Amino acid sequence: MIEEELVRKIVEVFSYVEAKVKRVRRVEVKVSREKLPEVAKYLRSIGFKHLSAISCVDRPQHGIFELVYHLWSYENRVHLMLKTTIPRNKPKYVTMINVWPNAFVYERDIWEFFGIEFEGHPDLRHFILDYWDDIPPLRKDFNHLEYIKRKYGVYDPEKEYYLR
Amino acid sequence: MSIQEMRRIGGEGSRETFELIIGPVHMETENFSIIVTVEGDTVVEAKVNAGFLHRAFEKLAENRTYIQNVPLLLRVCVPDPDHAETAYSMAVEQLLDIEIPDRAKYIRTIVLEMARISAHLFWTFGMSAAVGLYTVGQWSVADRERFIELFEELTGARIYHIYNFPGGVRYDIPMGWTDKLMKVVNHMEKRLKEYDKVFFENDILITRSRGLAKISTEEAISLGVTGPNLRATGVPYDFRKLDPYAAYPYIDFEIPTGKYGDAYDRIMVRRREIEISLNIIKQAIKELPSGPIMAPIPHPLYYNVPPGDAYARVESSKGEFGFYVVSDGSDRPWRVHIRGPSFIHGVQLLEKLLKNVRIADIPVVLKSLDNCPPDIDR
Amino acid sequence: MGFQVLETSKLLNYARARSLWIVTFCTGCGGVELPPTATARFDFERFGIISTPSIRQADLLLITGYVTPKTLKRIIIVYEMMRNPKYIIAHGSCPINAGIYWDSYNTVKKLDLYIPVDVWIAGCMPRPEAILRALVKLMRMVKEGKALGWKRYLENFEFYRKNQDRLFGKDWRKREIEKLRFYIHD
Repeated sequence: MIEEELVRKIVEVFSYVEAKVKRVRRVEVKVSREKLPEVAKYLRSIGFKHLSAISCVDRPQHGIFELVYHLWSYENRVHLMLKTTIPRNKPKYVTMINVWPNAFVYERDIWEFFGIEFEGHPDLRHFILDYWDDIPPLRKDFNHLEYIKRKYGVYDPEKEYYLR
Repeated sequence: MSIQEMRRIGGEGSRETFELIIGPVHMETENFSIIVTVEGDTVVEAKVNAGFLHRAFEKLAENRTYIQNVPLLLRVCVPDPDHAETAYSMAVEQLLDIEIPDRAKYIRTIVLEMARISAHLFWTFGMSAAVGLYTVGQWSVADRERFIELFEELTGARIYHIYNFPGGVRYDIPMGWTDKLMKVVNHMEKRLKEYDKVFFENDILITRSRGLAKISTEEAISLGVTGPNLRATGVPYDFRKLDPYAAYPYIDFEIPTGKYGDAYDRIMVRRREIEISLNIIKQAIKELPSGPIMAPIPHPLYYNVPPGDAYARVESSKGEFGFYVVSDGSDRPWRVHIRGPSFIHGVQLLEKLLKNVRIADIPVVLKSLDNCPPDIDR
Repeated sequence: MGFQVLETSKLLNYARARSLWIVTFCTGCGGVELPPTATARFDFERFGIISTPSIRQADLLLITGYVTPKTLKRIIIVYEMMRNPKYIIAHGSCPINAGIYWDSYNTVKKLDLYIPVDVWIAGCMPRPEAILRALVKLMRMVKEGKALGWKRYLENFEFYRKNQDRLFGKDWRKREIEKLRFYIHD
């Protein structure tokens, strides 16, 4: 099993990471935010050259944003989710452009939709949203019905429109 | 090309630079615009201006149940919706930990390959218009109609099929449908030779695209390029083989690759993919097993999904199409992240490749990447 | 006089109905059904309809699907650049009431508040036959002089302008013109 071997290898090198096999060809690695850059560099060197995406998950009940780096190794045929958390209050993180160049677009996307600043990112600007004047829209506390009421004058944010 | 008067922004004499806005009122860019800085006839810098199609799928999905999300999320990529719905269904299947029946796997394979062919035929229309060979565009859209009609008979809709569901597929194959499909496949095989004569081996296409916008394998992988654009650089990386899904592990097929990574290689990889998809359909029809088409799911319309997260990807006609679904145990996803291939191809790769390209070649570069603007904006 | 004077407007309307030129500006999902409508199988060229890249020479603007505020600005600019008389066909449910994107923060809910639409096509996604029917209907309306969306826009400009300003902010025209200053004349 290549996945288990990989997990063993990663845990040997970095004793502080939490790694486990999720299912066939899916590995999960959890690491604290300070240690992520060095783990990322190591993973890049052992074949995780393809960054599929960076997902951000908002978890207001824990007061954190979760960042998930989806990595794929073409040699080992394994998908690795590199996870870390950052505090929700004044979120800030370091850029990964020097490790995976295409982090550029994903980090700009996360900055736009979640409001996380990436230190060292050269071009954090509004790319998709046009003259946005509210809190970043994919945060859980963004009330889209209220925004629609304000902008387009339809629907009442107090009412229940969804199937429950 | 109407609002395209040039605007001088700097430089002196023969090295003057101008700004030029291409799109969104343009045939080839389709709903996104590129702001290019040109020196004479050559592009110095290109900046993509996207966001004309942003519909906030990731927000909408959080308020809809898992089943309600199927008809919503397939709208991410308009020319190729089947791959989006399959990727989402696969992510939900991973969360529910169910395995779909064999027959559903084969039907999915057939449907996905049909979707790939029709997306490539649709792309042929755009590509032919970009180089000015309009005849083959008329043919390919008409041939695409044959696949669309089969889709209509199978699923009831022309474009948005809403056919692959978490757990399997919605309807079984109707009587006599596979024979009709075989007829169309055989027709298409003959037709491709005519396409070659008129378009793919046409000197105009070769002269205009050979050596244009080259990219090496290392650069492509480091930029996250996938799909035909990556295979054109000479590596057989295809997620149908690497991260197999549906019935692809049981089917024998080769992966076309290019050699130089230029626009012509990208075009030819797509053209050969049509041929290989036809072969896959033939094999899948021959080996189509009988049995159920849906795995047992908790409730047909409304169910809770165990907490966790899953990433599922398919090899769409444009590249890696992935869905990252996070569940908190309720009946709606906590977060859905869509990874579309065009988010890389249409933004970072395009900005890179457009450098030192002449203005007249911009549509050729753009179309050879098979960019899908709705998938950039989501 | 012994001969009947031809009504100029009637003659012009007849001519206009037979040569509707479309701006090549597809604004959403519906654009995917336009190539089949335009090419060999359904072929709208037999009605004298072709797509033209030149906004100034076009008569017809197709709103092919949902409209986001960013696109709507461009639609308004394009619409105002077109010469009178000009017509709009809106495809699908989304321009009517935002359709499946009813709760999206970035799609316009009622397109008719911002620009006048002549013919609506319901459904998602409208089939090529439906598009052809809408085109034929528009041709009939133009011939009979009933497609008067452009007149409505001129007469109720304050109403449309107020709605546009409410969505984009007061100075949106100035901002857009600043951006596109070199591309828009008059």
